[in-house]
Amino acid sequence: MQNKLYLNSVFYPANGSEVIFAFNGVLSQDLIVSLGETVRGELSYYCAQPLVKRIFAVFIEMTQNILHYSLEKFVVEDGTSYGIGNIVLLKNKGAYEIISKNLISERQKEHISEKCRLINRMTQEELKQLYIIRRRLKTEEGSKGAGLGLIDIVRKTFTPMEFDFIQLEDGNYYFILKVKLTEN
Amino acid sequence: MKDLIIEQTKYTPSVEFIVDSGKLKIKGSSYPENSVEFYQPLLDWMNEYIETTKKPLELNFHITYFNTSTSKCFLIVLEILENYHKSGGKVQVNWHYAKDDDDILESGEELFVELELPHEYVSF
Repeated sequence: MQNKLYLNSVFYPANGSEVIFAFNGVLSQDLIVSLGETVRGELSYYCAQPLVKRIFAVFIEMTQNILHYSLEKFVVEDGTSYGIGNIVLLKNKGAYEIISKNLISERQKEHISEKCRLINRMTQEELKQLYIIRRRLKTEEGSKGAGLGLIDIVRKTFTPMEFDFIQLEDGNYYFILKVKLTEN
Repeated sequence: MKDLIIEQTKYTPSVEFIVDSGKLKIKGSSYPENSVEFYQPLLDWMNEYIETTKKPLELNFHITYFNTSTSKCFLIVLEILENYHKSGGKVQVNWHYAKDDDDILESGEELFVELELPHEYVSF
């Protein structure tokens, strides 16, 4: 997936594709909650509750990943920091796509890339076991996440993630993640 | 020690931990920005209750959605109860779920799968 494709998906959606919303900027917890409510409300018109719940869950994991791990941050005076990134929700007939984009370091890139490849190769049963094992591990000091988000995403989408990294001049990368959900 | 009461928000559950009855309830959605920060007071309360009263504990989960970092905290909550149970404490955990919500039932089953802890699934 090229960056151009990402931008095109937002500004020039493919035939039959519809942008439900596209967000670019500072993501706070409050904003994630509001966007999440919008996703849930909006999708309830189109699809059955089990799918709405899965899309909502994936959406929350992807936005909270930006909040916790984006290298690009907005820091306010009291020290609170917010993650900066993009999140897009697209609808194409019965399928829904969620695309996220945020800045990461080269070290994060190695880690994420390895993790995505591993997860994409696994069966649902293997993912379940990995989730259970990893949940018991101690959380890294200072990390707000559980390191389970990507595993959970693939368990809920049932399809491999598409991901890409775009190198910037300063050595950092944009991490782009695209997932697709459909009615079972 | 005092009861622990926390009001529900859009992204954090209500919490009712009652000293006299030993009944604990966590109800609602849970996807805080920092789950450890939210759940730490619950862990502290349980540890203190177990240490000082040695009385029975009944925990009722009524959860509609929880994110992955919450899931890790739920496991820690349950591990505290498992240890209490193993050391002779009387413990019961009830996992309540809407009868058409298989995902919540399954996520409950995955939490209890490797725990030695008396528990029941209750549909509503």
